[in-house]
Amino acid sequence: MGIKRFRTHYEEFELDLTPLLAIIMKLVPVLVISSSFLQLTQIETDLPQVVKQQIENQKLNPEKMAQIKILVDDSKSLSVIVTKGDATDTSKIPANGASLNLAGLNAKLVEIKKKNPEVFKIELAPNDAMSYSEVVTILDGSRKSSTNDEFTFVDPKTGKEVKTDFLFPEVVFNNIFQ
Amino acid sequence: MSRRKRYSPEINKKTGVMVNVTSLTDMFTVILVFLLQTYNTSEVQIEPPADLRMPTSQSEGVLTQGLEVTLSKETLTIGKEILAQVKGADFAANDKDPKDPNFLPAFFKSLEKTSKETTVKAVKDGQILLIADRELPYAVIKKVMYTASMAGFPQVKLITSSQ
Repeated sequence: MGIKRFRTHYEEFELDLTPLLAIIMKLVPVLVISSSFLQLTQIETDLPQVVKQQIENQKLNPEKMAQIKILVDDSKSLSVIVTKGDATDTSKIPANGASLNLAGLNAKLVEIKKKNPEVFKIELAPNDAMSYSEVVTILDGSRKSSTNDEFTFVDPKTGKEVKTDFLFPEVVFNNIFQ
Repeated sequence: MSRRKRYSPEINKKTGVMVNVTSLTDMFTVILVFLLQTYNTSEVQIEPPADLRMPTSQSEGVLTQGLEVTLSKETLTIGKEILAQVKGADFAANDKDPKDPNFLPAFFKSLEKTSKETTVKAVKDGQILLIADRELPYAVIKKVMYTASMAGFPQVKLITSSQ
């Protein structure tokens, strides 16, 4: 009579990881080469074209759409000028000591956006002495609301109401030719 | 009289040394996840110069094709061609047009030449990818934009590093 051998749960089950390791060893060099450790993004800006822009502006019927301009002076105070038809409204945002008051600018732009949800474009006139980094922070502050507000506007193509969290993503540097 | 045989366990002499690869696999899995996170799917690869520090931005715009213009604290370049020298907070006097201080003639000529010779649609359409140092004053950036606009490159995309 033969002796029965029982398999017990004490016997260890060994998983062969060698093929998995071989695949990973091949993937790692490929990914190391194609990885970018500095993630870059881009901010789109349009420069004013002397003639083309003027013609387009005339075609767009500017009396209906508000035009928003942000000016920065030597003391880093911001002026937000909203022109709609013949009416012009200017708001001053004083600097925070030696730096720009970006929170104040964002709050003002949210207020303007609520009144003019169909407008997505602003004109920016930075001061010559401002650093490029500060210009980018203004662009950031005018792109989206810091309090995650949403704005409803009517899509001219479909006629339906659309919600967006964008404030003014289109920026034109309007003092390039000055 | 028979002598009892001493117990000796059976050793399979064919078996080699077993290396435990579990910990190595663990390590590689962690590296793999990290590398997959940083994997770049963008069609454009930009390598900014080592001495140039770009501004940070919350923008989520993915890089698109365009003519790469690099503006460091010392030079304005397209590829490896130096087109103007930056000195302090302005371009060198001999790099500017004497009649129009905002105009950079060498940069203008290079843009015109590139526009004629290129086969890349985005460049033909007038798209520039501006890689500029964050500490440069706006007055310097403005001169680059002014000349670019004059040369038929009205769409300037500001390249920033994400926060």
